[in-house]
Amino acid sequence: MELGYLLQQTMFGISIGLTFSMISIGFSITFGLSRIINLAHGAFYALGAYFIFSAMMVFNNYAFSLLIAVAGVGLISFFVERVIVRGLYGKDIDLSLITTFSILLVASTLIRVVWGLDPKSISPPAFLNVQISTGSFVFPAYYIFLAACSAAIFIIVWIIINKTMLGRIIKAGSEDKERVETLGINMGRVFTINYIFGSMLAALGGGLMAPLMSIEPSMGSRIVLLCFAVVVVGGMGSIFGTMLAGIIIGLSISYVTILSPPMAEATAFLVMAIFLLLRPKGLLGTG
Amino acid sequence: MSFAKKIMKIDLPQIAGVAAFFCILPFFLPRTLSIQVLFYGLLALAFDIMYGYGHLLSFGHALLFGAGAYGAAISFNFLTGNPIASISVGIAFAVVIAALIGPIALRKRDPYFSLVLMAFNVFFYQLFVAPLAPWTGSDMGLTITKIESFGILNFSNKTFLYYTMILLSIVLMILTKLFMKSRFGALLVATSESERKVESLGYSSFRVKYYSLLFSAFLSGISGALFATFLGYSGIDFVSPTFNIMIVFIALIGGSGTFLGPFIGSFIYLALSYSLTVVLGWHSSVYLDGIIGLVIIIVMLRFRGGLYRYLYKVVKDVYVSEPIR
Repeated sequence: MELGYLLQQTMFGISIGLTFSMISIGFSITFGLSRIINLAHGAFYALGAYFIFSAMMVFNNYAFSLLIAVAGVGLISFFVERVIVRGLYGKDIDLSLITTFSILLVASTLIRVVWGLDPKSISPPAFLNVQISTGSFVFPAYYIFLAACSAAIFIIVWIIINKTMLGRIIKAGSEDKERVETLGINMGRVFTINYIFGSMLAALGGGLMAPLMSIEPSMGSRIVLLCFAVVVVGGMGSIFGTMLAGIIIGLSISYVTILSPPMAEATAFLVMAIFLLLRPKGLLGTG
Repeated sequence: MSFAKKIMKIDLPQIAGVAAFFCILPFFLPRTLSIQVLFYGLLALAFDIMYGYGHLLSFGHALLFGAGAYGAAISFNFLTGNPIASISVGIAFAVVIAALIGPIALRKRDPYFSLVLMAFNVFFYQLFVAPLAPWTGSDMGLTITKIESFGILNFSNKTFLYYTMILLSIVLMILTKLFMKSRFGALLVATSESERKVESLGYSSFRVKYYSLLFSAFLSGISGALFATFLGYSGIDFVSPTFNIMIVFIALIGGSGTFLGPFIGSFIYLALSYSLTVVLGWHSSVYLDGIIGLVIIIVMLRFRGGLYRYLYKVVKDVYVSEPIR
């Protein structure tokens, strides 16, 4: 195995790792604020990928299709929150685990019915569909675009959480919900906004990852466990911990792909297990 | 208290009822289906020890069931045809897996416990599909080729085998009842309320949960191993991560935290899946997940008690038993 290949896998790991951490942020803030584990996150990720596939068939414009996919998933997540998830706030955590897992199951069934069982694929926009090559080092430009996009969205999320009123409410609400309510803030609405925001991040991740891999019905349930692994390694409630953890998980996946492709995603869970044993609060978690 | 008195204290009519039900079931259904109802019920009971009593939602019992099934099947094909030895290998496989992942999964309570178990389930699923393919037969499943009759376990006579399985299950059910009635069962229920109070009584809450998980793994492993032995086949579906939500469905729809609930649920699950196959043909498995998901959502939001508790309200004037939780 030559050095170029290793370098390529490293870059690949970093870019998918950043995307994973971007998706996980939505998962993490939903848990932090509303105390529900939203396994339906994976469903929105898969729907984002499928929506962009369908929109590409019609418009053939990547950026516009991405916008449509994110908006569509936002709309769906609004209804899901109103009808189902609303009944789970303040209840036991296992309730939300079972119910959101069922949402994931229903969504993947609907995907199978609407789009069929066979995997789909889309190609990235033409100007990104090139390969940067120097000697034995070949690297698709799309990976760089992916990493840059994820990093940019990451910074935007960080600004929203730390510098805006909404972010302050979310942070305060994670600490003590009742006290925020006594200040005259409608927490129900904040929960809804938060849920839709998280789902849109998942859809964005799905849309960005779509050109890299085959779009298939089971992709939702696979990503949601990876999200969980990223959140556990990074520590609940830490944004930069999540980013670091995403890169660690991404790198471990891309390196194991060299050795044994089928075991790649499974290895991420071993990393998680090691962290749970040695550092249960995560890399930068507060406890 | 003597052992006989302990046996008398458990609710024997319930077990007798379950046994009688499974004795007459083969007259209405094919034997393979009846045995499926029985073992899925036992598996859901094992799941329910953790969830209904200990309030620890597990998304990993498919792994334990599958480990039992594959352990037995692999041992039959590659080690020995002796059923007792092979079934023991299956049970040991399930218990060893639980013993290894237990300390990791039990570090924290609910979202961690269930999702860590699920993650390990995916890990082992991938392991079974690809790197271990020569032994597990990948996604085709493993057909048991070499099987010897041993004592009462006579494999040429399926009817006799069926009733032997029921006899074994009765022993397992009594064991489960004894476990739940013992001090350990009470402590497990107590940990679900407050771990700190259990600790202050001088018990290690981790140890209580760990041993309960091991017992649960033993029960799932043995039902997996016996099921594979009866069918002569172990399928990759048994370890599939989505099978977990079916186990949750079985336990919830019947009534979690009750003894009869899992068996009612398992009957409903198989009735649903087979009637769907009859109505929609072989493509029904596509829709089955979605329908089960919808039912779970409705049950979780509106009818959390499960079917057993509703039935119990009807018969409570003539028959008194306790839904424990």
